[in-house]
Amino acid sequence: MRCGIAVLSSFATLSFANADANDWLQFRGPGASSYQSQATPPTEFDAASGNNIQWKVDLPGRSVGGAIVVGDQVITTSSSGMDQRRIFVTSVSSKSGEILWEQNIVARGRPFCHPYSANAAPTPASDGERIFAFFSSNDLIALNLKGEVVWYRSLASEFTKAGNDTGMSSSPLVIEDTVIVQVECQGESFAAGLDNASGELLWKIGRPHQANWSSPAPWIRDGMDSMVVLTSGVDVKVVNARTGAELVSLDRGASIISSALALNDQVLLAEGGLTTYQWNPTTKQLDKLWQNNKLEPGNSSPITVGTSVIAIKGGVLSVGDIRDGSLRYKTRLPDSGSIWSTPVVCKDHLYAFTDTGRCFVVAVGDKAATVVATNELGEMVLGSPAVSGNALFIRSNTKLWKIAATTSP
Amino acid sequence: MKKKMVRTRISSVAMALLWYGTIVANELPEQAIVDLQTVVPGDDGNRTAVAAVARFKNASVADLLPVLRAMKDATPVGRNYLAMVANSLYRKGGDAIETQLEEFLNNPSHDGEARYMVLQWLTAKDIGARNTRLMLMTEDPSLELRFAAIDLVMKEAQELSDPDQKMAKLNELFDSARQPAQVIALAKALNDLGRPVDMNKHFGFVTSWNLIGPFDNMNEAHFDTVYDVERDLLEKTSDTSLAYDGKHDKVRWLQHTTDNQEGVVNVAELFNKEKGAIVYAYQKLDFDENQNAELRLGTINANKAWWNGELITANKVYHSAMEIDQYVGQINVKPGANHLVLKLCQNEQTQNWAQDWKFQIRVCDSNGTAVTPKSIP
Repeated sequence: MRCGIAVLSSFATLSFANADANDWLQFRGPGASSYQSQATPPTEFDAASGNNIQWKVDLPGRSVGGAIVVGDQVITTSSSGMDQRRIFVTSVSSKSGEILWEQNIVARGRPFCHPYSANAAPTPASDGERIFAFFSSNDLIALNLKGEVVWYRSLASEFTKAGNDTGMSSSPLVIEDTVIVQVECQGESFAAGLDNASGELLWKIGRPHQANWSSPAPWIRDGMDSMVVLTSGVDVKVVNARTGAELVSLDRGASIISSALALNDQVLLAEGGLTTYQWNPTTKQLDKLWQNNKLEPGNSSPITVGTSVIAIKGGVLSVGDIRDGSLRYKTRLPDSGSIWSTPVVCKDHLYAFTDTGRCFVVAVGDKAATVVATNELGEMVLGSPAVSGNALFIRSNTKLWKIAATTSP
Repeated sequence: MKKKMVRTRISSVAMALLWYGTIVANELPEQAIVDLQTVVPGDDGNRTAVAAVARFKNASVADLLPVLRAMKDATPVGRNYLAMVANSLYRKGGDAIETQLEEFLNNPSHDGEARYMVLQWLTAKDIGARNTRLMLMTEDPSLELRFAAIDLVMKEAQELSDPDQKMAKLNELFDSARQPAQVIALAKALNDLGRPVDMNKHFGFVTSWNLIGPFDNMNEAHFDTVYDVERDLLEKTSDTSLAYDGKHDKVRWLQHTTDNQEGVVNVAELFNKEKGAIVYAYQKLDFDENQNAELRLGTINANKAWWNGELITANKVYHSAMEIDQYVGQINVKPGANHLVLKLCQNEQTQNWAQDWKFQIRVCDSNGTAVTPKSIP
């Protein structure tokens, strides 16, 4: 089956100081797109035989978040010990798998979470110079690339009712000089922007008093201030990344797990399936463009590639047309179990990890999808992959893996 | 003459080096450590901390031990800052002061989090050595080290073939354990060996209660409503023979003792699974001595807890998990009668995971050791 993904997407790229083309600096990577147009990691790999597993490394605790790639460092977080209060940030050499440095502290916020989850739930983020590691306990650590502390905020110590005892997992987002976090729960619920370099609280806005595990999404357009899209089960807000000033809001809820995707003048939400809104520069509002409840993102976030929009729920891959939301087709991934991780698309293949560490590699075309390989890591994977060069970096429950051709450097 | 000149030159160089070395070692002002020790949450504290961290840029491993020692009297946020600074200093050559670090680790008066970090450093390349050392720490004053130690020894104990030896070892561990999940695991292991233990006594759960309700909480509207019974309880004019206007009709006090081994009181069962309602729980506890203690509440429902009329904790959180020691507040236990009042709020959620209405509460010290009343009148 010819795979026919036309690479027409034109994501505005986020501007990061010192970002490298091979970097994967946050949850869902560049533009939060979950897409790397040139990457060609192996389609087949296997933990038992080591085929195309360039290295794997044991980490000091559990994680349900993803890893990021900053230069030649792969950064991941872990939690372990009494009440999972011991939290770690580990840097691993992307080339060799050697641990370069590790920081660990004791969580000062609420560490409780569902047994399936971990205190190390959010995926870290980076501006290319610093690493921002966030935890379910609302501890936010900023380190330089040598692992030295730059600043640290225990947000739960400052906002003492912030916390969710089933766990929190919203990943931090870096837009230019601001790191943005969503801390949404029944207690003190807010989103905040902090200065990358100093950790100064730039803005804080109240959010609905309701549990929310979705992550802030960047919305960057030429000629406009950079924005961040905050979704919840109650409303959607678009605010200025640096000031928190509201641009627009929608009085309707979206998914509390799946995150938004903003591209060009459109915002794609996991609302009633998937819904796309178009920015109207005259009214300064978001107008609904289309909605399709047959495109279901489930626990993961949607992806667009070319004219395709891709969602995955309960092992069913739904592919639609981003222009009008029409469903093109659905494909069931066999024996998939649960998928919590947002897949990534590398060139013309989608990599989707199940919670048991099974990876489906799918050629996603305009008319049909074909599973080209099913691979096993044999360990729980809830975090999303990072892509760098022709490698995938996967954080499983207790390990970090590099999936790359074992004959390449 | 030439020899004397050389000696003088060497002596001058030595003096210069000594002077320079002194300058380098003292380049890090003590104030930087104090600033990190005293960091408070918020922007002001953050600014102070960031400025202090910057002053460690040229610090060396010679500054590591003062930083570690400072962790003992640091604020929680400050302790984390000091820990990260210490970690970075260790990487500059901590191997060179291994003996001093050993002494630090072996001194239980030092901060537990610092000692935990030192143990990690000293045994980074030999997990076997780490485990061997940990297994001697089952009664360590650091709860973190104690927890890790008990975890290891428990696994080893479970492999013992002699049931009496196994039971004796597990019993010993049970007495030392403080982390709830670990206590429960040990209790289960002992129970399986035919030696049940009293977890309520170990934890210090309050198991006997006076309960009254239901009062209205439809639409989650009455979390802050001061019902007459609440007013009376907080004024300590409670009379458990009185009736009050409840959600539907007059309500009276109900006496209940839970036999649940984790002190859980099932309010839903006692009050007909009423939804959109509030129940108050009250108990008077007699203690011998004045002491600082903690009230540790676990509940899946919105809650308030008062001790001797003072609000200790209030959490308007519905159906977001329940854990032992979920909400912790500081209290002062006074000699004689102490009044404990709880307000447990149920909402109207219909999901099957949102039907529980229950709580557990204990009085303990900051280590989690039960503070047991001499009587419950």
